[in-house]
Amino acid sequence: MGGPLMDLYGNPLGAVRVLFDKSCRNAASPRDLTRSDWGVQELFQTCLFRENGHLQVPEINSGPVDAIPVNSLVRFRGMVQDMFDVEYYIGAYKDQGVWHTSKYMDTADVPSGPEAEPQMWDRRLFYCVPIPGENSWVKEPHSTRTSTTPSTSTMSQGEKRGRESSNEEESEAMEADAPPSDDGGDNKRLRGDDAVSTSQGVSSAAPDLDLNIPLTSSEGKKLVPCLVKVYDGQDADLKLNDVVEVFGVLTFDPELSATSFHQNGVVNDDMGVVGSAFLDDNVSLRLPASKVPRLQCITLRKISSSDFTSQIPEVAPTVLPLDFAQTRQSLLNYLTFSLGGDALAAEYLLLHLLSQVHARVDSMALGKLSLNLTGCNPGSEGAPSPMAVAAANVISKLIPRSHLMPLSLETLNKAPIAPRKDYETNRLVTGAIQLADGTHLTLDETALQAGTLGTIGVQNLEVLKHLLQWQKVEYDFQYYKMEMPADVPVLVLSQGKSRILPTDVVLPLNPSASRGPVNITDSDLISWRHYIVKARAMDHSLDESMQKTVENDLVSARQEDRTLGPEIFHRWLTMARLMAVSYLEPTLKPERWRMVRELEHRCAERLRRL
Amino acid sequence: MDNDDAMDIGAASSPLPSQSEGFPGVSTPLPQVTSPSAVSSPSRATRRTPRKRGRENGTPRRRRSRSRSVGNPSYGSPGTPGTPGTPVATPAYHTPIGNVGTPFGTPVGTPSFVRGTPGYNQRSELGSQGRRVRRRRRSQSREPGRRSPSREPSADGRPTASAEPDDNVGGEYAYVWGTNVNIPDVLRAIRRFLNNYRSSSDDLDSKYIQLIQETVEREEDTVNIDMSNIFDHDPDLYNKILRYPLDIIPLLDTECQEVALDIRPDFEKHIEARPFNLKAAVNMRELNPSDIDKLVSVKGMVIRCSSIIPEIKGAFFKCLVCGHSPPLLSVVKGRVEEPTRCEKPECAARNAMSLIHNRCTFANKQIVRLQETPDAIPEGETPHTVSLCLYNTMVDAVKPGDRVEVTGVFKAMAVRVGPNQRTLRALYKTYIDCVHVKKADKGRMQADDPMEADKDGNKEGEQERDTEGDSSDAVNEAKIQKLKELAKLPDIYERLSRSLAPSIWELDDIKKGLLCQLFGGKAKRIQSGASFRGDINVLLVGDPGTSKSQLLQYVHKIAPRGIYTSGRGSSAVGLTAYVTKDPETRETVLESGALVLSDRGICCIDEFDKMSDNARSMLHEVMEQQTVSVAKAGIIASLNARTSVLACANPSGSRYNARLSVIDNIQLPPTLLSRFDLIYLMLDKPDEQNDRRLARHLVALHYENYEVSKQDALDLHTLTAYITYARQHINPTLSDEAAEDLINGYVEMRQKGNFPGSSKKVITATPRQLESMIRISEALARMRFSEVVERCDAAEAVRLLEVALQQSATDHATGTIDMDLITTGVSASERTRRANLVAALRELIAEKLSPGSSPGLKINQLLEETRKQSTVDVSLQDIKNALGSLQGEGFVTVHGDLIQRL
Repeated sequence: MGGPLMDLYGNPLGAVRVLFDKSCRNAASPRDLTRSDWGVQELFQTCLFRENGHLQVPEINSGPVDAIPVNSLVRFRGMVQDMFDVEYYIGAYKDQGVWHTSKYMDTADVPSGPEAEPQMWDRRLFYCVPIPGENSWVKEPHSTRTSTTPSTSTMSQGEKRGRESSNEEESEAMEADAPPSDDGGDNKRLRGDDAVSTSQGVSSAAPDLDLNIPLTSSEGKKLVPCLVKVYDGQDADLKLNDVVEVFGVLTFDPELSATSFHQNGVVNDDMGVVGSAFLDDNVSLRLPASKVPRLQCITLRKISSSDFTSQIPEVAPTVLPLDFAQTRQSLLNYLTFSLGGDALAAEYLLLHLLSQVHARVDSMALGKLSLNLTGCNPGSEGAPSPMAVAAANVISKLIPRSHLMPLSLETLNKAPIAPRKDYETNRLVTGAIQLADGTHLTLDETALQAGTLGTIGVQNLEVLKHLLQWQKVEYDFQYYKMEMPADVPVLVLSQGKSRILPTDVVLPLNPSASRGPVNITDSDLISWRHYIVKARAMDHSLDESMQKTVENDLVSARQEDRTLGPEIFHRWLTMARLMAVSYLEPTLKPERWRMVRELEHRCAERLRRL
Repeated sequence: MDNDDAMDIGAASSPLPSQSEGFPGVSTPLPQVTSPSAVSSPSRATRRTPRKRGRENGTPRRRRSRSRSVGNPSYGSPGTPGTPGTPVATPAYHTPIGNVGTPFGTPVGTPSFVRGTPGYNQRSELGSQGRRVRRRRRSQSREPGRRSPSREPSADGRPTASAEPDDNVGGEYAYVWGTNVNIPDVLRAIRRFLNNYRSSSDDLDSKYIQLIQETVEREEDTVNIDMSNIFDHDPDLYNKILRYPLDIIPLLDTECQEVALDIRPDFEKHIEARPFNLKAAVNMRELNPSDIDKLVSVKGMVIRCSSIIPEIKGAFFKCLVCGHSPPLLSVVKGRVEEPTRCEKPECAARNAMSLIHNRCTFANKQIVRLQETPDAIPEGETPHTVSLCLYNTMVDAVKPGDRVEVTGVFKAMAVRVGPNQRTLRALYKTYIDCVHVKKADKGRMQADDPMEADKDGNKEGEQERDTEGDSSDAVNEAKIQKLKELAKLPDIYERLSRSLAPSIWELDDIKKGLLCQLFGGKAKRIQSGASFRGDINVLLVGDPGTSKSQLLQYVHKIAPRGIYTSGRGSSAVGLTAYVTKDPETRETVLESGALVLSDRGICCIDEFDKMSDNARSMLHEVMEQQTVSVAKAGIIASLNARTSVLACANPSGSRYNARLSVIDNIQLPPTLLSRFDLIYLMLDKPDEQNDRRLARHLVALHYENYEVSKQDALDLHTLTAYITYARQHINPTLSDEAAEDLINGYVEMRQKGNFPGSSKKVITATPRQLESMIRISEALARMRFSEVVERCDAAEAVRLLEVALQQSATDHATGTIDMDLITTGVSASERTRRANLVAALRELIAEKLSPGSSPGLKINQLLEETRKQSTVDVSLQDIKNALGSLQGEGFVTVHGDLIQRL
């Protein structure tokens, strides 16, 4: 069996091999091997998800990949940016009468000839990028954790070496770091000469290779995408833009990078022209392994935007603040302060932060509450509006993933923000709004100057509008568009009411004299974050009598004011839900409904005064 | 069985044994050994091509040797041993592993093949599969039993399971390798099918014998074989074809060729059987390793086509020294073995052989990338793609954007480390070698010619475009039956209207109107060439927040073909068509705009009022003539745009002003307005009942017990199917009574204007409205799947139009329908009011001002004065208009707001 933990992390393939051999002995025919994963997942899952074992696995999101020894177990958190086709590979073969597996490996040197009895298996390829817009406080616990992890000696060695970036050194280091393989020599990876020669090739690889990362890192850090190979149907419920945490074997086969293929000419001599035509389409072969590490997924789990909590073990006990009302109030105070003392806006902002799409009926997305705060001054000389910066800053502290997008002519005209398919490369070219669910988007409309919008600009605005209205993004597949559901709360900051972007709520900002600075401690932030997560996860219902009350109230409101249409009622109902949820109440109470009406009343008044 | 005997003869008669095809592919279940000296065995002989084929095949008769690497070892040819030509380590083939293709069972490329065995007959899409073509002289045909065994010493690669060559060759013991599929049995089964299958019991001739006859007569070389026919006739054979296409499809070819030769003994082409219409098309994402080397059928959309790849099939060399040319060398493993020395003994010059390109033979090949169609993609995933290899006649049959259904063999090909390395990458590339491509037009609405599908279904030619018709009929029969049952429901009309945008409450009449639009009327073409549109155009005008856009979105979703566009962003060219220069070729290209793209569909235009006048004027032609004309950059074209227009607009003041006339509210040119069959005003009327329903609806929506309200409505899918079926198959005609009713309704509508004792002649309805009524009643009949427009349809059509007209053309001054309002923008009563005002003003001015005197009169003063006198409300604009006409009369002059009498 698996042996000591260290082996799992340092030499996962060894463990796989052991399990494989074991099931080989039990299997009657090689085909039996396809039916199970030989207990690999089970073994790793028990080790990883018990006692935070997963935190000991080095993460490759931050820090140079070179630092991690090849063929060791690593962790990667990312968003599924593109899904490639199924890859067929030789899963098991015989060499000199003994079965070997190349599962969880990029390639294997399978002796050609029928005596190898190669077994064809398939795996799914996913292109994952670091989670767009992830805020640094979410990342930190991970990276700090990794560095303090009591790691195997090979690992620290790898790190040390990795800093020196010579190719020669690196491959040497990797060779040295190669975990002692307890299996037959056949399983040895390509090293030495191969690695050296091809890593030179890699260094000359196309520099303009598009890595398809939706948002560049604010800290200017280099973001590393990953090509994740998923086995055994673990991808079943994986969707585009899902955020996953992958535990897998980091493999690096320099021969698979584009250049090496070029050097070798067309790979398969007897494929001729045809072969090369096929290869053109094979994306995975064109992504240089040095830029896009390959990850052989052993196990993976989806993480939602609220999952960061589980990763801060030390604060976990304080997760449930008993007097959440106080937490709510303190958060409100903080928001009020950040919005220049506007308490009403703070209330709306709080509801807005809690909003998420909870159901879709026909094309309508229920539960969204986009907010437009007007009266924000543009920043001087093209700088973003100070209010936008402040708001985005606050939000980035509270919500795990957020992004501030200045709507300047330049950014709008620059590139399409909606993803589109490039059939030349057969990849989904990302756009700035390919965002995982729950990512908050702040649009700074004050950056928009008078000027000409190009075709791209107009399309981009349409995309944003569509997102605001339906919470859907149309991905351009050239021959048709495909709507992808999104759940991206949008806050629009503008000078006057935004005519371009239709939001659910429009509220003129009314900053009063700023109060004294509020002292924020880390523990405040942490409890707020937990409060938001908790509130967002709340279930909500409406009992019979309250339903009547609401209905009656709506009818009488409409009798009084004919301008109240279904849109406004939608808003009220959404707000009522959010309001209840913000008090962590599972059902709507009359006073919350009244609060909503009161808020709306004040909001309407403010609008009238303008 | 006569096959065997035929082979026999083929062998005997083959003039040039050395020309027999090489079957380099290891994986071929078929004979591989074809060394010239090989003694002919029956099976081998079958595939031998007589010499002249070589010539004829100067046109790419493809066989593809490269695919050898892809072969499926499971059917590896065990028969090879013992044949002199194949020294290769044959045992290798004896290790078939289930269905796992071992693409690299390649060692067989023995030189002996390479020489002198041009595989002319290989069928490209079946990889290295040898194509068996038999030439048979019927006069000589004998029963197999009579065949002299002495002529077939070796089992030359015929996939016989048994190794003993002599006895059972061609006998009952020839099996597809690794299976218990007996080849002679299969051949017999195929022959039985070809001979006996009749599409209907009263057909005299077998369907396929007829088809082959047609093929022969047309000098073509393909026969499409509907697999559902095979299934009906012989499910066992069907399954065999599905599971062992590489082996059995060549047998199909053989048998078809046999039949062809029966029909015309000197038929020289080689018939290829093209099976299609499998019982179940696989979803692209469900393909998995177990499908490798199976016959699969996949639907998708073509996204990329490679250029045509000429694949060299036979290489022609010439000695530069003596001019001697050896016979064509066949391509083996994608390579041609270049002779190192001239084979002429007296020359024997070294390295003097040069390839003469224009005497080589080539085959066409194309690689196409197929992507899942949008509807097959689970939500939140990206489409899968698969590569296709198309050959010969299939090349260029499809272009990007086409929806196709292909039938072919799913193959995998190993990726190799290097040309000469023994080891393989542990990776495969997969692709489908197509045997049949069918373009599908599924889901498009075909209003005009729904029956264009050939009922018989089996037209010759590769790209037969049987749209709906035969293929889907069998499969969809049940579905259609269900739709028909739905149609019988008495409340189907109500039910349909409930199913349309169920999340939008009320608005029943509008939904009914939209339904009519979706179903559409019948387009008519009279002999003189004039045509009448069947499309119904609808305009929704309403207050913001009356869910117009939602309705639009919904309709857009249902109409399989249609464009959703916003008036604000659209330009005239964006809607119609524009001319551009292709960046690569510099050719002028006509690009279609939204309207052309939604030909036979519905073009939804949101924010119609925001559209520029210029863009809107383009719609005139589209909405009545249903064409778009372009005259630009040397291109003069008229494109079909048989589209219904569904537009929605806000009233001019963004909110409907009840005090203004409808026209003033809509603010659209009357010319355009009259082209809409139905104009709905979506007004927000204060009504507590309504409000309550709205409130309940919304609350329910938000709190998820909403499904209740959805009961007995059709789901989106059924609704779409229902509409599509109706549009395709139902072409109602007016019954006499219905026609009578429509006429009466129309006359009544026209007379309404004359009603309550008013002397003013108000035109109530125009002939356009009569046409609208006809269309609407046809659409209503379609909803019931009725071929006849009944009186009830007519009555409902009149009612719908009245409802729409009442809202849109009520002259609020008189309360009657006033079509004049729509056509000229000014109602009859409005016109009298204006005339009255002018008269009143004239009097007033005459009273206040003397000619030429100054100072004049301010407009504001005038307005006040008029208001004092007038009982009706007079606006400044009215005054200005009236002054305008007075000025025209030369009665006054107006400078700024100062009025002076002349």
